[in-house]
Amino acid sequence: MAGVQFGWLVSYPKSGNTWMRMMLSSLMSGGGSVDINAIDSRIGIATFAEMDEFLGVESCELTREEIAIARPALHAAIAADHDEPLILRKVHDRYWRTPSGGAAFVPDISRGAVYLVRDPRDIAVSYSHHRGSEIDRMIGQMADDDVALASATLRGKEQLPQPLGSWNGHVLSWLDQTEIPTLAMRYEDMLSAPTACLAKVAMHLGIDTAEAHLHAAVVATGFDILSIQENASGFRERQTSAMAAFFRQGRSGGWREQLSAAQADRIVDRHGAVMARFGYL
Amino acid sequence: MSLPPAVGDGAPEIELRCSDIPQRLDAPAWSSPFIDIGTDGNVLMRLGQHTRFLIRGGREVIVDEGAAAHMPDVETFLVGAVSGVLLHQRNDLALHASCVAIDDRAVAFVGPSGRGKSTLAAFLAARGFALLTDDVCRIVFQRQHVCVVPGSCRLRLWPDAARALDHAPETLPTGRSGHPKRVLVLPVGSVDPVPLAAVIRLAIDTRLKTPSLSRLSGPASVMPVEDLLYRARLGRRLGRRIPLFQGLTRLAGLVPVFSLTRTGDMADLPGLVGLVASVMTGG
Amino acid sequence: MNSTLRFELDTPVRWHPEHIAGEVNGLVVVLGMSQGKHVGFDAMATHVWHRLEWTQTVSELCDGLAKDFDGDLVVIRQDVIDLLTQLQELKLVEIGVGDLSA
Repeated sequence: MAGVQFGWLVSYPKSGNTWMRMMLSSLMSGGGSVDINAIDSRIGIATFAEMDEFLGVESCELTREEIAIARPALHAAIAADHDEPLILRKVHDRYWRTPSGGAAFVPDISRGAVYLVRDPRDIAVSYSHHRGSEIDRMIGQMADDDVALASATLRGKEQLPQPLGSWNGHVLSWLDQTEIPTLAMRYEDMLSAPTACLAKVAMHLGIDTAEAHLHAAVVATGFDILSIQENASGFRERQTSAMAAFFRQGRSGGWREQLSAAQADRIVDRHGAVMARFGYL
Repeated sequence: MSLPPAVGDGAPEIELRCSDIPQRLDAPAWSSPFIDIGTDGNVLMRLGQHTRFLIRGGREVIVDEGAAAHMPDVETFLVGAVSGVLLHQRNDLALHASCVAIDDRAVAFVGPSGRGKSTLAAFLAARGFALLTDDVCRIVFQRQHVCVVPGSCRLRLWPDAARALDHAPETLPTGRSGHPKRVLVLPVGSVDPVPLAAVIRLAIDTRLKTPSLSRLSGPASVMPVEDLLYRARLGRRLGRRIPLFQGLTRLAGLVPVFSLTRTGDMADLPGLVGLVASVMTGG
Repeated sequence: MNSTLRFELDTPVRWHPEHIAGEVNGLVVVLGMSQGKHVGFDAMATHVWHRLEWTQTVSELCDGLAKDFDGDLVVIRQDVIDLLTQLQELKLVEIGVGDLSA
């Protein structure tokens, strides 16, 4: 179909992306319930399988550079093959360009992006629970300009490599670009005013909504509901070394109890300017 | 160059030669950075700087002159992507599967890239199973059976998978130059087609402690078709949507389909041998 | 789910001419050529699909199903209308072909 556009749901990991996707998925079905385990196939991350299918290539034989060069073409091919006007996709990549200078997230076929920001101190704590790793290691990873997801020896299981970089670099990469209209949204605001936030996101992405559907979507994806679902059926995104329920770290400010003063200072030293910009300091 | 047994039925039916090939087709019906499909069904594949193939009529594969210096690359793509195109052009049914056999019965592991088809096939091949093919699995309906035609016995493995299979990656040849994946070449498991006893769809669920196997039934067992067919969209663009659909539904009516969900941790490989064996004997 | 009656009960309905159907384990799966979508049916939809081999009115279809299942005609009509609406959206059936002998 012609004229198909992407709505990119972007965040550094553990910044509320899953919750936002579930709210949007519920909203687009009129406020109905959302299956936790289906969300990744409905609004997911680009995969090798997609590159195989849409570009007709054995993508797992490509080098990292070739995969990067082909990302814009992949997005264009997905859009060309889609039969609804808007495609929502999950993105953890920072905003990046291919070696030949083209934007990976093709502006011409992008209706807009929603960028979710969360206090990096809470991310550090939340992420380490998710992966059962040391907090210090996560703080180091968040400061690393070169880190990427799913790209260790290209053995990313199913997802394409996603350049991540440092937390503050990640935020700025999306907010400083002017090619794709990007709505910045604080995770903490989603917690305190979910309906208003969802309404803003829907408007930004051109999704028709009714007031009642907004409320219903928020209720259907409240942390209580999702926790119940997760305990009942498990949640596929949780990695094997997780020690706590995925949504246990849903609150904000929990870092005060989990980070030492030194750890918190390390984060502020590295990311303070962007943190101040979003009212975290 | 070690090519697999002929993709055809015995007599050489594919002509392979080197010649100059253009960078792209004029006025293709469809095009991506890696492939042009002509209005006549000819396919031009571009893989890397040097490697180009022109594939015509399911009978002719022309390798670009410049590629002759990079034979491992050529070989890697010939037995994979190129043979897949040939099968579409020849109106054959190909699953996206790696396939092993034991006691003259085959089992095909299907699924999108990254689910571990090659790794599982290699693991079983080291434990009494014979390898029939990797990644491109040709299916024929003959002599009252659904059969797998043996294909490429070159398994493409990521370094960590190679290690899990007790092969030090650096001792294995690379397939494509500059790419981390290694090649494990195994003996040809069979020359003749082998009856297919089961199709096993691979999935990964990192919540699981041990792999889990379940029988699928009805249309859901073969949907989405892209998860089972080799390059379904490519086949569609070559005008094969209907025969692929009919072939797949016919296969699913005759061969049991299972879902095997792995933990994502390669330590679960040993447990899979028993599960696969149970599928083979259960019938 | 209650859908409003989008077509009259005496409207003819038939398989969409551009489709291919197969069966897996007794259940129908259809490839609609118009949209290129594969759709798998459950047992009920499979039964309805088989009946639609012969062009008939919605009313005739419902009467036949009521006999097959010894069911309540009102309930069956609503279920059938819901199903036909979905099938029409997927372009697997044509509703209102105008000529019963087609």
